[in-house]
Amino acid sequence: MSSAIFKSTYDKVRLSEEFKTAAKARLTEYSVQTSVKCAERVDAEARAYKLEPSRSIPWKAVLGFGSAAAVLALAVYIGTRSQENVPIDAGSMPSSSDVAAEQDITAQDIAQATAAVVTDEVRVLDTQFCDLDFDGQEELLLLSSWGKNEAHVFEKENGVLTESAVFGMGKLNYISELGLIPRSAAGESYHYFTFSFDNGGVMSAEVLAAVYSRESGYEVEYLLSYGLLDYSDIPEPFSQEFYRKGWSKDDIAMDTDYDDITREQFVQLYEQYTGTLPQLPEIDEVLAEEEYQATVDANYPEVRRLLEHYHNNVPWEETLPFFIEGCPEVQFVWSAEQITAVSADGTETVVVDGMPIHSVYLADLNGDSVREICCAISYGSGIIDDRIVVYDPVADKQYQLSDRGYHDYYLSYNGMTPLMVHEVDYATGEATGICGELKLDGETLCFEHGEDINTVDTSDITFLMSVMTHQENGTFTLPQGEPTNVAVKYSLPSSWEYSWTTASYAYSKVFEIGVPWSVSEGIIPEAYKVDEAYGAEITVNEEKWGGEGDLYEYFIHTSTPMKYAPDGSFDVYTYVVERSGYYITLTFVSDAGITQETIDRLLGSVEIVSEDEAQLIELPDVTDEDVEQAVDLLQASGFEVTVEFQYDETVQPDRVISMQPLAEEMLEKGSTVRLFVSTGSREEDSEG
Amino acid sequence: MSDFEVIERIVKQKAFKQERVVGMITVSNDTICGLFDAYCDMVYRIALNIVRNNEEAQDIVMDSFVALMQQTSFADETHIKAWLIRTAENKSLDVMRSARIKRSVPLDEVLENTLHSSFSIQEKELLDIVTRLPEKLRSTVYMHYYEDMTAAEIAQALGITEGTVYKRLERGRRALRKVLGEVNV
Repeated sequence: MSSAIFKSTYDKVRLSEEFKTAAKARLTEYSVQTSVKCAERVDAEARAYKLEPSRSIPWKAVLGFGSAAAVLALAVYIGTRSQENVPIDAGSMPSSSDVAAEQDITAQDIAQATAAVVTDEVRVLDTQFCDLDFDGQEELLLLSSWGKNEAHVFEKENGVLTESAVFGMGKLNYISELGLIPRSAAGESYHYFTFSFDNGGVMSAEVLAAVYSRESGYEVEYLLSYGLLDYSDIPEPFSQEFYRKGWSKDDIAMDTDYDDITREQFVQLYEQYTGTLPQLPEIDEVLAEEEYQATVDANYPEVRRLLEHYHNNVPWEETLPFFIEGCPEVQFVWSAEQITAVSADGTETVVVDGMPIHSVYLADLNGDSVREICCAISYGSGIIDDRIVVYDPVADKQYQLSDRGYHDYYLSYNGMTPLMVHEVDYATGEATGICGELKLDGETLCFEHGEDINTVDTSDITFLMSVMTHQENGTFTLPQGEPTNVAVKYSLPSSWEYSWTTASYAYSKVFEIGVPWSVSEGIIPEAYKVDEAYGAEITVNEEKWGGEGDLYEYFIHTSTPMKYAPDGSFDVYTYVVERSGYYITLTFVSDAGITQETIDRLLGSVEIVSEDEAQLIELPDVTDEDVEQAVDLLQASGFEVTVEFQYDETVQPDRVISMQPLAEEMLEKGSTVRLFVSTGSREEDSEG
Repeated sequence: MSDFEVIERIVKQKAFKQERVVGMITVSNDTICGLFDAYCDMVYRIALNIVRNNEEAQDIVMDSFVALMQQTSFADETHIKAWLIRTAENKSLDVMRSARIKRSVPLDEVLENTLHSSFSIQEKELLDIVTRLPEKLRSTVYMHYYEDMTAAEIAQALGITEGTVYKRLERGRRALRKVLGEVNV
């Protein structure tokens, strides 16, 4: 098709000139709002001093040159006027009691403060007066923007204006106004403020925060937020409303320092903090729930995750009410120590108890169309084991899966596999690698022992590493020194998927290999420890395995599990492996559990090959693969890709028919590979 | 894209916003009107393709450029364009998911009451088909056939893989073929 028809059509789809003119005026007005606010305040102050604000104030003419120049021009204007002996009506001369006290902030002070903050890159978004520290004297606050926002506090004492504090750096994002409202609670006075957060990506939220005046300075605390998470370009896209309670005074990281709470809990806390009810959007809860269920749990509609915590992360003070479809007359309530069934007449019955009940799922195990409550609990005192407990609400029966003293059991669910049981050796605490789908076989709770995922295959993976990235303070930088191009080979279990430096199992990323460093460069692994992963601080649990003369020795850095999406949480383990004089970083990201045996086998298979051998890259065979995955794999392998679609009677649509050159040929990096992709048969297409 | 890669991209987005590099383009009073002139119609078309409602599409245009002004700097204008595309699509999809649009506006009503241009029968058919494609195909098709963007450029703008772009274009092409005849990617 020529794109001419597209051009002629969409050329006519455009905004009207009237709209464009009005829009640009609004945008220009928006960009100078802070100058206007500042000027309005200046105006008011000017009247107090009997200076006459003119509609033709010259600063308006210089706005196009930036807010800094505008404010300076204003300051100059005011200063000039004050020197012009403007006649003052004696009858309206302010009395001595009306004269501003020496510490009152004047128009010139505002201009001075603004000029001190504004640069070519930093703008003042909002100006406010507020007695932030409750000392009876208002401070001047300027909200500035430089990537992130921060609030500058100016105070005046003995006629001298000084910047007394800056707060909120890294904590105030994407806001244009600082609407501070005083509040007292629990014997402490503070100001709370709300703002809108939108990172232009996956998250938008309304946030409630508070700023406290303490001896050590101002502290900002993330209190509450509600909003929308929108993952639109992942294999199972979904949108979901969320409600969160912040718990960290160190940072307002919208996607880390929080606990998920219910909408009802959010409303309750919001009213507790502010004395008012939040203006929440109407939510079609049934539709949202159905959409969530349809997208995340599409593969296993009978399973639903309620909560999933680890031993050290159970919220002991909270409860979670829930219903089970098919049992509308009963409300169940989870707490850390028990699940209670509350009938319509208020009768409460404990149906599951544990210490704690750290994970709860709903799954129909017996096919009666009513989900059972499936829990992972810790049990016992003195000797404690982890077991699975299932409660059938229809039959009012409980089932348990345990092997006290020999094995512990855990549950997991990620939407891509069934509700899975994972077995752990009781003595060592190590996962045995045995796992399977949770089942109710008559009266017996059990799990099907699936394939041992740790069977190592001899299909070697070879890739070149030539670029090192080092994460420090949130930025990625190239390191000092010259990284060496080397090829690394390693083996993967047969059931794992792989692409370049990563490997995954059941859609969970479980392995990623980093870049080697030559020992002769003087690089030591300690200098490249990962202190933070995905916003979560890594708890350094350092162990050195192996020793001098061993084939390898490595360090272990573990991180605390972190929830990043409603799908669940994952663990990160980073190992530094010394091999052939190089340090290689291996990172495991997994929510399926990785055994030490698997780690050892992977580490044992890592080897450096000669550079000559690594110059050519074997072309992977992507015939019959999905075009999306084929393109990704080839590009990750270092090839350029072109795609041509054609009819084919035998190959399914969007799958690769053939490739040029042929698979397994050894090619130079950057070579172009042609993929011929099926659009199905011509008859299928005409039927549309 | 795996969940890990989603997180990695979020972290990199944060890192990008924290960077302060001399020489980047700054969105300021002076530049915003020029950027609006250059890209307002593109944002409007992307939004209209998805929401099929003129008022909502205009709101999305304004929201996108107001949000642009809250960004401090970009590497170059290509990044600004990609940012606007992504923002327009995200905001449009938000509107659809929030169910603010309670009814699907007939295309004739959109064309006659808002665009005030005369469209041929074929052009109307094209608009009707494009705006009825699955939501995520519409922007991809528009960017390729009207904005002449390559698969790599579209992938970068939307934050998807090139393979996904190819797949979306192929599906869009099949739908369009029925009206417009044989199509070559």
